[in-house]
Amino acid sequence: MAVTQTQLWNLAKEFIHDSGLVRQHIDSYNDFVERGLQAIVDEVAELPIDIGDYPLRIRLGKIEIGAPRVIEVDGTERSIYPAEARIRNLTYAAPLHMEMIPVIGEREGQPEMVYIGDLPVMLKSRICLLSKLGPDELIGVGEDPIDPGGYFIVNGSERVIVALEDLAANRILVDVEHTGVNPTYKAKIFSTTVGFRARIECALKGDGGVYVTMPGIPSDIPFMILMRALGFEEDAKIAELVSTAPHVQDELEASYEKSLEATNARDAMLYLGNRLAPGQVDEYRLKKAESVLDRNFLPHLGRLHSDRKEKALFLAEIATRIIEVKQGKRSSDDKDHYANKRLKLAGSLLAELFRISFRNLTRDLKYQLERITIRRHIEFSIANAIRPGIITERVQHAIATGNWVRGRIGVTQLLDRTNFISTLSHLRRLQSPLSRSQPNLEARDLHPTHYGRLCPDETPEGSNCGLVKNLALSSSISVGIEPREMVDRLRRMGVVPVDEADKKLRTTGGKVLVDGFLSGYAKDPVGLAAELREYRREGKVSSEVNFAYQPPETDDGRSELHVNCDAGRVRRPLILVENGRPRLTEEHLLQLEQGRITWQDLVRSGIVELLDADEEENTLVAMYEHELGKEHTHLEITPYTMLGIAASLIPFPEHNQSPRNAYESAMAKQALGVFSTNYFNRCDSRSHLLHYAQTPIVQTKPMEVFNFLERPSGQNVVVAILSFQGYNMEDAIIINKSSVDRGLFRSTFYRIYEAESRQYLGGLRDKFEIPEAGIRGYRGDRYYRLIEEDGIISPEAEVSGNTVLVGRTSPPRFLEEYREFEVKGPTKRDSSVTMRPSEEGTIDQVFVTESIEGSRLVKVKVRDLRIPELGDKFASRHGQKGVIGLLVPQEDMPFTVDGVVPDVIINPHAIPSRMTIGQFVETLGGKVASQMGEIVDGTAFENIGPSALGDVLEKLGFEKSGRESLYNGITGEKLAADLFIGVVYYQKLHQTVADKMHARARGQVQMLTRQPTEGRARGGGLRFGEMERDCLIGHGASALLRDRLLEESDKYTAFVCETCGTLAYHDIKQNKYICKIDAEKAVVSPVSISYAFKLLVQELMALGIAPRLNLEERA
Amino acid sequence: MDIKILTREPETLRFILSDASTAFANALRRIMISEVPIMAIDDVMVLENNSVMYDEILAHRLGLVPVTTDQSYNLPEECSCKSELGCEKCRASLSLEIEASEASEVVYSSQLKPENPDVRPVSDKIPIVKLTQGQRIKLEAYARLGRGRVHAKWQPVSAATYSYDPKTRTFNFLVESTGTLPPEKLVLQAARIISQKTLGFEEGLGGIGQN
Repeated sequence: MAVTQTQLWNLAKEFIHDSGLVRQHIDSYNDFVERGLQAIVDEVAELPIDIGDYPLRIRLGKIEIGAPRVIEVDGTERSIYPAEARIRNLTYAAPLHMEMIPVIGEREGQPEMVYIGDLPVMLKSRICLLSKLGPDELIGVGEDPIDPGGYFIVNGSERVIVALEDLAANRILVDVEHTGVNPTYKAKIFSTTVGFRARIECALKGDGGVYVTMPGIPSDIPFMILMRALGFEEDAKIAELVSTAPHVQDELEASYEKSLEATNARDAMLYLGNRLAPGQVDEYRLKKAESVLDRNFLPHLGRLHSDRKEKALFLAEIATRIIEVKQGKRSSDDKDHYANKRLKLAGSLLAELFRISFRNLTRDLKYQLERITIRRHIEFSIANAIRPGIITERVQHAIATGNWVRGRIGVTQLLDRTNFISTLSHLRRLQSPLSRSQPNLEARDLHPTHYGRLCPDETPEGSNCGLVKNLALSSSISVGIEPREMVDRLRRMGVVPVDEADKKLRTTGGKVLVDGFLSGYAKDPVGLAAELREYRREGKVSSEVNFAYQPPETDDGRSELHVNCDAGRVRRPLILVENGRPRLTEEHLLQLEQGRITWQDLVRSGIVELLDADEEENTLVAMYEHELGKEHTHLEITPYTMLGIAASLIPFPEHNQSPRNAYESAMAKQALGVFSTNYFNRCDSRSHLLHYAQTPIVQTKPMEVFNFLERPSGQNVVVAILSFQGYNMEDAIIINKSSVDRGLFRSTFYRIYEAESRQYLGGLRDKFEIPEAGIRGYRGDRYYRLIEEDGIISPEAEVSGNTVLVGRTSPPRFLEEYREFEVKGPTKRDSSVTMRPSEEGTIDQVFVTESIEGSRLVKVKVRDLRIPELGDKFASRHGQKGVIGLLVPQEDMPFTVDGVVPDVIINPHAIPSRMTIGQFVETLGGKVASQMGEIVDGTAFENIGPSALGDVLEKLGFEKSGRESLYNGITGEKLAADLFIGVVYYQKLHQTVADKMHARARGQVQMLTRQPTEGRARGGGLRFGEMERDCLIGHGASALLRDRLLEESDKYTAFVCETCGTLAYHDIKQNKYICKIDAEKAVVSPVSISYAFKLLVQELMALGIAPRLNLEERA
Repeated sequence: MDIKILTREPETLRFILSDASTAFANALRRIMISEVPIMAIDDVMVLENNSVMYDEILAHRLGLVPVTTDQSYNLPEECSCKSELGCEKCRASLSLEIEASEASEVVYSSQLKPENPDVRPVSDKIPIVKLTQGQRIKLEAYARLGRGRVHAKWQPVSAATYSYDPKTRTFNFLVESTGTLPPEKLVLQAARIISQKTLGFEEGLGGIGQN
C-alpha cells in the first residue's frame, strides 16, 4: 500500500475524532438517559398501595428528561447554561418527569405526568444545551469552545465521575489458592444485574467436594444439594450436565458423598431453608430458601422461578471449569488479563445511584399515599404525594461529595483545571477498586493486554501506582448491544442449545459463550468464529461485538468461542490484513483526507476493526507494513497512539529511561498554562495563567488532537548544561534575570473569595456593610479601608494579607448572647471575608449575584502577578525538575559568539544517573527548529532521530554534537570546554515559593493545648519534632531544650498541693491557694509545667485515675 | 589597542579590537549591556483600560518597547527635580488613547504619541494589545533614562558579544543595538563610562595620595 506515516496518522486522527477524547463518559451517560432510566422505572413497573379493602396500584409509565433549568427562589423557571451554574454555585440539572397511572381494580385512571426530581446533566451530553452549539455560539454562552465536557456541575463545582475498572461481571474466573495443605480451586462470579451485584463463589476444596457460597446464606452449600434444589435430582443427569468426559465426572464422586442428606429437590430446598431459618415450620423454610435461590443466586440469569434451569446449567459449567483446572486440562484464569476487565463509567454508576434513590422515592410515595388515602379516602393526587427532593438531593449529594451507594467513597473528584492536559487526562482516568494499602503486586503490573488500551507511562508513583491508570489514545470503550440478538443469530447459524445438544456434540464440539453464559455447542467453532467475524466486517453484525476463539489446552479439553457484547470493554483499532496485504489501500486514505469517507465507513466496510483484549488473542499483529507476512491477521495503525494524553507530550520518549516518562506524565499535569479561554468567566477557587505560553517547537503528532497547541503550558528556552558557581547543585536551575525581566515564565495567580448573606431562623440575616467600629470581632479601621458603602471591595484595588474584601455583619450565634443587653438591641458580630494572611494581590473581578436560596452571593477574584523567583519550580518534558537556585544578570551569563545567552543553566549531574537522553535529542531538535524556523517532530518511535538532527545542525554551521564554545560572562575568558546548548520546552510548575514561604516569631496558640498552631494558613509554628529533640538531648543542651519545648511553647504555672500531690488553685477573691482535699493542711507550691501535661493530668482524673505529683526541692 | 571596523549598518556594528586584554574587552561588552543609559518607558499611568490585558502586563509590555534615546535628558537619580514623578528634564511622556471601533483591532507601537519626537518607539510594528469592539485604553507613559543592570528594558543591545583568539589578543566584536542608539555611539558611550570609572577611581585614590 506504500502509505506514508502522515497518512496513517490521519487515519489515527480520524479514529480519535470519531471516538472523541471524553466520548466514553458522554456515550455512557447518553445511554443511561435514553435506556437506563426507563429500565430502572420498568423494574418497579407497578406500586401496590395497601389501603385496606380497595385495591389501588400505581402503574409507572414513561420517564422523560427535560432541558437543564433552574428554579429561582420566587418560583420562576429558567433554562441555564453551565457558565451561569459555575458562577452562581448552581447545579446544572434537568427535571425528570414520569407518567403515573392510578389503577383501581382493573380500571386505569387518568395518567399524570409527575415531576419526580432533578438529574445533573453531563456537559456536552445529548441533553446538555452545549451539545447543539457551534464554536461561536459556545463562546457566546461563555464557554471555552474546545472544552471537552464529560463532567457535571454541582453547586457550582465541576465534578468528574472517574471510570472504575472492575472484574468483568457474570464471567466464571477460576483461580488456584495455595493456602492450605491441598490447593483449593475456586471460581468467582460477580453476578450483576442492573444495580444488584452478588458474589458467587464455588470451590473444590481439599476434601474433594465442590461447595458454593452466595450472599444471604451464611455457610457453604454442597454443589450437589444446590443442583438438586434447582430441580436436577438424578445423579446421572447432573454428571451429564457437568461434562460428558468420564474423568471429569469421576471427580464429582466426593461431591455426591457430601450431599447424601438431601437426595431430592424438596430435601435440598429444606437443607437450604435450615441454614436460613432454622427451627421454623417447613413452609416458611421452603419459602425462604426459594426466595434466596431466586433472588441471590446468579441473579443475572433472572430472578424468577422459571430461571432455575439456566442457573443449574451455569452452575454445572462452573463445576466443569473448576474440575478441568484441577485436572490440568485448562489453566486458571488470569485476573489481570484485560479481557476480564470492564470499565464502569458515569452511566452505570449513575444507574446504581438512581436506582436506590428511585426506590426510596417509590417507597415514600407508597407511604404517603397510604397515609393520605386512609385519612381522606379516594381523593388524592399523585403529584402532591411525591417528594422530588428525594432523588434530587440524593443524586446531587453523591456527585458533590463522591459518596456513592454501598459506602463507596471517592467516586467523583473535582475536575483538575491546572492546565488543559490535566483536565483531559483527568477525564480519561481509571481507578481500580483494589485496596491501595495491600500490595496487589500483579494487579499493579503492566500487562501485555494493556498495549494500545492503557498508557504504559502515565500512572502515579507511590500507593496508587498501577491502580490508577489512564486510557491510551487508541482506546475506545464498548457501549454494548443486547446479547439476545447474538444468541438468536448463533442459533440460526447452527449453534445447538445445551439441553438439545447430543452427547457427541458435547464431547467433540466447542462451547459457545455469549457474555460468559454457555448458550450452546458448535460443531466447528473455528469456522463459526471466522464466519461471524466476516459478518461483522460486512456490517451484518454490530461492530460492537467481538469473537474470541479459545482452543483446547489439551487433546481432550474443550474449545470455546466467546461472544462479547457487553459494555465497558476497552478496545483498540487495527487494520485488517488478508494474505499478507492490508485491506486498507492508499485510495482509502486519500478519500479520508478529502473527507469523502469517515472512520465509520472504514469500520462498516471491514477495513479496520476494533478488537477487545479477548479477540486480540486470536490475532498476529504486525507493527509496520513491511513486516507483514502470510501469517499476519492485522496491522497496527500507528505505534505512538499506545500512549496516553500526558505521555504523548514527551518528545523522543523512546530515548528516555521509562520512569522518567512516568515522572513527566505526572508533572505535565502541574504545569501552568492556559487552562481554559473562559477564565474571566469562571470561579475556580484557585487557578493560574501563564502569560506568554508558547507552543513547543519540538512537537509530537498527538498534540494536535488534544489541542495542546491551542492551550499550551510552557515556553521554549535556551538551555545550557553547565555547572555555574554551584548555584545549580542538586537539581537547582539558574535562570537569566534579564529573561525574567522580559517576561519569561510570568504568570498570574487567581483566588476566589466567597461571601453569602445568609438568612437565619427568626428573620435575622447577614448584611453586607462596613462594620461599625466596636462590634464583636471588629478588626481595626485599616482593614476596612478599601470596602465601599455596599460592603464590597472594588476592582483593581491593591490588597494585602487580612484586608477585608467583603464587609459582613451577622446576628449573634446564640440568641442568649444578647438577652442580657436587650436594651441595646441585638448585638452584631463581624463575619467579614478577608484575604488570606500570607497572600496579596489586586482585585480582578467582583461577581455579585444571587444563590439558589435567594441570598446575595458575592465572589471576589484576586489576582497576583507571579514573577519567577528563587525557589520556584520548573521542569523539562523529561522528568527533570528543579527549583531556581539563582537569577543571574545577563552580563554575567556565559555567551556564544553569536551573542546567544542561555535562559536556563542546568547542572550536568542531572543527566548520567537518570539517562534522559530524550532531553538531549529535544535540545538538538529545538536548536534545529529555531534555526530553520520549522517545527521538529519528536513523536515517539517515528521521528527524525538524533543523528539526522546532528546532520542538519552541521549543515547549519553548528557542531554536529550540539556543542558550542562559550565565553565566561564575568571574566570574558573562553570556557575550557564546549557546552551542550540548545532549545528545550520548559514548564513552570504550580508550586511557587510565594505559596509556601512561611516563618513565625510569635503568634496564635491552640485553644486546647496552648501550643503554637500548625500550618501556614494559621500562621503556625515550625514543629520542633522528636528527632530534633533527640538531637538536643544528644548534645546535652538542656537549656535550649527547655526553651524550645516549654518556654517558647505552652509554659504554664500550675499550683500543686505538696501534701496530697493533686492540682490546687488560686482563689483570687480570697487571694489564697486552695487544695480541696487537704484544705487547711495544704502546702501549695507553684510549678512550671507544660500546659499539655496539666491537660493530661486532668484528663486522667476525668477517667477516674488520680495522678499524684510528688514535689521535691530543686537540687 | 587598535580598532578596525568591519561592517557598519544602522543597527549592527562589527569591529576588531586588537591588542587588548580579555578584561578590557569584556568590560566593554558588559558595560554596553548593563551600564549605558538609554530611555525606556518606566512609569505608566493607566487612565482607562477595559481590555483583557491587565494594567501590569500592559505596562510591562510598554516598558519593553524600545524607544529612541535623547541623551539630553537627566538620569532620574541625578536630576535636580529630586521628584519621584520626575520633571521635563528627566522624563519624556508618550500617550496612548484608543478605542476599538468595530471588529477587533491590534494596537501597535506606532499609536504611542510621543511628546518629544526624539523619544519615540524604535519600530512602528510592535503589537501591544489586541482590543475588541468597545474596549478602550487611555494611558500616559513616561520614558526615563536607565541602566540595563536595573532592568533588561534598559539594555541598549540585543547582542553584544565577541570571539577571540587568545594568541593574538584580537577580539572580533559584534554589537547589535535595539535601535535606541546607533551602535557606534553605544561603543563610544561604553568607552566613556570606563574612562569615567577610571577617573572616579583616580579621584578616590587622590585622597590616599595626599595622605
